[in-house]
Amino acid sequence: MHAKADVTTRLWAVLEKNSVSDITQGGDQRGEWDAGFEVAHRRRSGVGESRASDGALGQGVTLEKRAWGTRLACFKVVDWVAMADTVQPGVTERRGNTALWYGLLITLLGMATDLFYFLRLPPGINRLLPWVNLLVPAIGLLYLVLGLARAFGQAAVYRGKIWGSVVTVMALVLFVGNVVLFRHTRDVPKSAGAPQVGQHLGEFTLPDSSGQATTLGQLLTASAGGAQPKAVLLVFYRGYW
Amino acid sequence: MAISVDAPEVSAKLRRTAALSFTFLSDPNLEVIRRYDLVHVAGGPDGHDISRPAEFLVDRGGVVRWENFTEDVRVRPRAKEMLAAARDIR
Repeated sequence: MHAKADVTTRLWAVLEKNSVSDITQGGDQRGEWDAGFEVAHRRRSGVGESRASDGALGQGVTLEKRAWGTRLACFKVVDWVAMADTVQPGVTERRGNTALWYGLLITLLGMATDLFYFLRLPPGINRLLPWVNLLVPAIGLLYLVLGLARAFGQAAVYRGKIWGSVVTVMALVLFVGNVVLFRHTRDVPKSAGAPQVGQHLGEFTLPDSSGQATTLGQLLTASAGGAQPKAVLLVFYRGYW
Repeated sequence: MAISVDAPEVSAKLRRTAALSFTFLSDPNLEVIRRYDLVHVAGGPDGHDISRPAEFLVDRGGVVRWENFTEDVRVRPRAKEMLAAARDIR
């Protein structure tokens, strides 16, 4: 088992010399990159044995192995260094946190979905909106949490500790708010005793907006411009608008 | 035709501001609302009882031909649905 510093030094050697053989020369030690290359090669060529024999085939494999090894070594360096939370010279500067940006955009979209009820969408889609109001903010929140984990866990690589935290708190408030709203708007009585299709509605008398007493019978026979209506739509609403 | 617990004056104001020509009826004591089992106990501000949203298409004979009870007060029926149901009535 190599000490952390020792492996890092050797990895740096790879970057500088662009050669894997320096690493694998350790003898029976098979580094991760070695094993990784084997798997990739095995998958690609369908052979069980990846260690190349001498000759032309062997040459190609060696070059490929070197390139692959270098690539993986680069990743290893960045990850290793980031977790040690020090910035090594030569490593590229901290990059933007795309997960945070996705999270922000999706959260903003989530806010917008709360207004989709006004878009007059087809009934099938309209019915699903309450779930969309929950799902989209949830996805935005997941991306934000991922971005925050990167910003804090790999601070040398990813930006966004402060603005990411602010946006994530806001997104959490939005999500919780939408959950509360969801529960509130679906708190509707069962109305099992309501008139069914085919049922005859009894007579009733109620005042209209000018205070005049009006019966259901009058409404059913009332004529708007001569013809008797073939049906009347009764819309019961919550009021207090 | 719209029914709610709002008093006639309140409905009149809504009718004016929204420029609606259909009839608004007031059921402040939830007489008809209760008869049709549409009461939403303490559903209104200040804990007042109100009606839940519901739509009934009633033919000339007073028979219900189509109805709609939403599960979520944000989800309202589209006019298209109601008109399609109305067209089916002979």
